[in-house]
Amino acid sequence: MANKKVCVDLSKLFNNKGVSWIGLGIAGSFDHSGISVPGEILPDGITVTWCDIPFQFPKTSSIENDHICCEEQTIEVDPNSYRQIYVAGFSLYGDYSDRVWIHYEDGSSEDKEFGLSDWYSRTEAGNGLKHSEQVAMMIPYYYENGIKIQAMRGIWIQRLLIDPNKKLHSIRLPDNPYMFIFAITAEE
Amino acid sequence: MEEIAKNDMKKPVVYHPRKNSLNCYEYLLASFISKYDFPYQWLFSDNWGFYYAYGNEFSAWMGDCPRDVNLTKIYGVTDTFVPEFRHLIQFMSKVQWDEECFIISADAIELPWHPNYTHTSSIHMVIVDGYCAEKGEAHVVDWFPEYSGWIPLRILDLAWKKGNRMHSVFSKPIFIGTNSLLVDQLKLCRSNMAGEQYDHGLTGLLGVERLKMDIISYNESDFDYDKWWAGIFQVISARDTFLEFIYYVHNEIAESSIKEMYANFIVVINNTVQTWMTFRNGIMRSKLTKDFQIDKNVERLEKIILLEKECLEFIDNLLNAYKETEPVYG
Repeated sequence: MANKKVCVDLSKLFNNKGVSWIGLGIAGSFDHSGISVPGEILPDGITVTWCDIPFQFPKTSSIENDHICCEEQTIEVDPNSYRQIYVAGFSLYGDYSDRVWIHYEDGSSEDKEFGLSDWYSRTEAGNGLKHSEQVAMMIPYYYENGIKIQAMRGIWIQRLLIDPNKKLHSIRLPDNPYMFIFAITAEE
Repeated sequence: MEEIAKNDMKKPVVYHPRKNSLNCYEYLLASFISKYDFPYQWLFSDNWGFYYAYGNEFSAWMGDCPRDVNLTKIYGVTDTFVPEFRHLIQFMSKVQWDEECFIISADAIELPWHPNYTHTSSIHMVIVDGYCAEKGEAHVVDWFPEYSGWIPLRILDLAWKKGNRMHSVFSKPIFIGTNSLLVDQLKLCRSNMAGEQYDHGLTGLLGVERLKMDIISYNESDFDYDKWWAGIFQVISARDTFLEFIYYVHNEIAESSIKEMYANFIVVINNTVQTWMTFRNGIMRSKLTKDFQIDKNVERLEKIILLEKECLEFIDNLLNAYKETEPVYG
């Protein structure tokens, strides 16, 4: 029997608007140069399954923020014993790695390396996925300051192993504002 | 039909896991040097720098980039003077394809194999290593992205004209390795890391420490974001290419007794590069949010300073180790 997977509610931590809906007049921007992804080809406020893992993808068809730029935010989870955490996201302008902190209910904690590859990694000019991620979905085009750019980009799934003998309390994200996270799922 | 194309550039071996640590131009230089079976990584053997001239003025180098100095100093390569020309075709018959390397700039928007083709202008560099007058085609080599093939000269000419019309013709390399080369280059790198004070600015760690002091009083409106992006990009690129050199030394020439020291050095340099990337991205995000988080940026710079000091210690330890052993130069 498959292990139970729990989608973590991230909505309170969303700190940026990255998804655009041109038809609805909604413009997002992940970065300083106006890069955004098209809402019409992404999930919108639904649970989507990638690589057999359910993710609660943010609602993007509004002007509200829809993802996390990583700045050491702390994500509290329903205290439980988990085997692993799945993170759906990508990086811009590089393949980044930093430490995440895993805090347990018993007061102990551990830090682990967390890497997210550049969103263009799976293209011919890309570098390949640098941190053993899985592919969540490929995005055939994106926007730069509202202009449609026909080029393949992607969202990746990174996995973090958790000590299953302890109850997980929270996760502190890495410090790199151009690492972007849409959804997190914990597996019991 | 005469087709002149050597087509014998070698794909450079890059040890760094982030293969884009070398830019398109550096890939071409590496390819040209590799063609003669020389290790290209010595280009980057002291490629560490920071220059801060206060305010928005900073970059990796106060003067010449060590990579360009090393091209001549270590590989004996000179950039042959070529008078200005209006069209690429005027130059095609003058290149000595056997021995020279002809590198041109081009606007990637005109290059059919490039991801920016048809939609985004950007300066890109390619090697032209052949020409067929009858077909009116040139043979080009590109490693980032990887491409090699014939292209109508009129397309290449257009790309060159839109791509700032830069060109270099490099002479055949010879590797000027000496027994003391590694130690000499590490000493130069140490000097770049430590830095010096000048009337107009500060280099190395001295410069980073001063930047940290100055940034406390910055306002969001003080920032020229484009300059910061370009400056930090250069600083990161310098360290990332130096890291490729250290990977090369570790993998190819380090004595077993000193290999572990290089392995640990690789980890610290990589952390330094990652932290510079975080700092850069934090600065650039404030352009979007209009919230320049002074404390956060100071904290990131403090982390960078600690890591750069650690890199300096590694160089000192390596130099001490080489006092007792005879280094090889590869």
